[in-house]
Amino acid sequence: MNPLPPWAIDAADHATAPPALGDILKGPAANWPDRDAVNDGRTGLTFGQLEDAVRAVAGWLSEQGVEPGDRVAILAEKCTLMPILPVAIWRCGGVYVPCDATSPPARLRAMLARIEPRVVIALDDRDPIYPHGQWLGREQLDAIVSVPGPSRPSAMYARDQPAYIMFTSGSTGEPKGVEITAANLLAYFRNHNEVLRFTPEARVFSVAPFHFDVSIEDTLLPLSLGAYVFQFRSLHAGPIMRAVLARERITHLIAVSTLLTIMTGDGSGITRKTLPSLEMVMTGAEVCDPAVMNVWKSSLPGTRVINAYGPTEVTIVCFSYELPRADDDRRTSYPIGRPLRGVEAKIMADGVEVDAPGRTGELWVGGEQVMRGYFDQPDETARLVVEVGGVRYYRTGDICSYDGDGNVVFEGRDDDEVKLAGRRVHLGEIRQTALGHPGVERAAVALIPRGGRDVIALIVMAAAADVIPEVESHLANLLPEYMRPALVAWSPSLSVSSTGKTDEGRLIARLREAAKSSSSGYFGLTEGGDFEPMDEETVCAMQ
Amino acid sequence: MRDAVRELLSAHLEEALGRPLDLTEMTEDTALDALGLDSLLTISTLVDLSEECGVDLTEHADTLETPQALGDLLAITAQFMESR
Repeated sequence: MNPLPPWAIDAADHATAPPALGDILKGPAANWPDRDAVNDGRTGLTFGQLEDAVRAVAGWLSEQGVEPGDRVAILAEKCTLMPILPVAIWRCGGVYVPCDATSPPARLRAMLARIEPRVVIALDDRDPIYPHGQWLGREQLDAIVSVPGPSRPSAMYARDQPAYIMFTSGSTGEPKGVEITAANLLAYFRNHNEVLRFTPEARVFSVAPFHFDVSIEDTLLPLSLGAYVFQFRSLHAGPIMRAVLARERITHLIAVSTLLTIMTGDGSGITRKTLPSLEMVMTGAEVCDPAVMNVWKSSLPGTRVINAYGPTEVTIVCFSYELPRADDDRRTSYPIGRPLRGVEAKIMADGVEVDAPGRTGELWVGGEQVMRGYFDQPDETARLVVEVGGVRYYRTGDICSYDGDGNVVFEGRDDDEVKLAGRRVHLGEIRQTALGHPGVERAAVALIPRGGRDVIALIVMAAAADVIPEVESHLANLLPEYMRPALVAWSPSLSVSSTGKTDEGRLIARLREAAKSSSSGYFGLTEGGDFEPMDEETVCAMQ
Repeated sequence: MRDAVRELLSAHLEEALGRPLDLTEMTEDTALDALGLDSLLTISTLVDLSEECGVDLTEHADTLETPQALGDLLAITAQFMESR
């Protein structure tokens, strides 16, 4: 029996040295070559097959000249092949850069042009969209994976050498590439598995897209320990997800709050009879209604229900809170709890650390999980990563406080960054992108409630309303679907005085009012200073 | 059959969007977000459709994927209608 990595739960494994990142699947493959490792409902791979495929892809990458430090971009898809790719890249010492394949081509092209990947691997069959470097399509990937490759030693990473880059929304109008080192990731594995407690018997429900760092938590971490992972790629509908949880005998469920809420439904489907194996439910990435978490805790008292928190910049997850029991009287969200082992945290207000319960300040998170920095944005890195007493801290911009038990509670943001269905969206990025269209003089972006949830609303100030369809197609070229406004309103430039923000605030308040009494997606400002719905056909006809 | 599929789908989409919608002029590659449908609305529409057609969604767990274009939605609607 080969030892598992030191982040295993079994104390017998704790003394082993951590494997090289590119070797994290070797132990399970040697121990259980024929055991099911990953399945997406259509195809599956055993641990032996996974390791063979890693060798094959690493061999091919190496033939393409991929060397330590080289970036390899993936146009990702939720499927069984995906976990092979980061491990193969790490075996070569490269930097794994998963991108959202559903992003508009212009956005993807701009990201690729920035990171200059040596290789781009597309999990779909699109034509190449990046002229430099080597392009690998799905058919070729399938062919490479089917031929066994040579065994090769794994590359070693220098202390500050990045292992992956994940893109996240940025206020400047350009996505920010968060660079996480191999040392960050190995520390994360050890720190977080103390809470997750994946064992070789675990069966994990993986629903996070691969361009989202939780996919490392719900796929690569459990696979490194010999656990089974189901890649859920079907409709995010409650009945389907619950049926799959039961059918796959899932023990560990990790889902952003929006998805957990959908899975919960009216709560009647969450019972020990339907989910006999479920040991842990972890949610986070956005504020979760305590009633949703209460359903799981009260229906499945023996199951650990955990609220997790972590900016991409501090390697996936850095805080967690386990519900001691369902608190049915609770109206505010559960705390994000305490830092993981190896993570340090302070709440800072006006340059001073605060520790009195209830006092709010900005959460700073420090220690071994703090990112290397933002790719090609040293000024942004210098602004947000600060050293205090020899420890590097990331300034999260999240406003937090301590509760009476010493747990940290998330209170809100100090800027216009929002979470929509678990995705981090900087409203400033949408605003900057809208301003990039000629004819748009000013723009305001806000969340507005509609149909029981918040949607993005954009107000453009321009000479004429016919700018609306142009701005919409401009945004569709540059922003992923979830960042595009559901409501677009036009205001003539004359109505705005020079003071900026307050006027924008007033306009947004008026739009919010107008949106209450109309389900239209378009509004225009009348001479009387109120927003009135505009006909969709009228707007389309402006083109 | 083709018209019946469009008719049923447009009734459900109108309810989801809360406004009238004319599918007759639209091509199958029309992106759903251009109609104002995000993924959450799309999925709730499909759940309603499956209920109306008496389809057990869970039996389709491994074949359904989140539709991106009108044609994908029409294909799923047709699949539901055939199995009712």
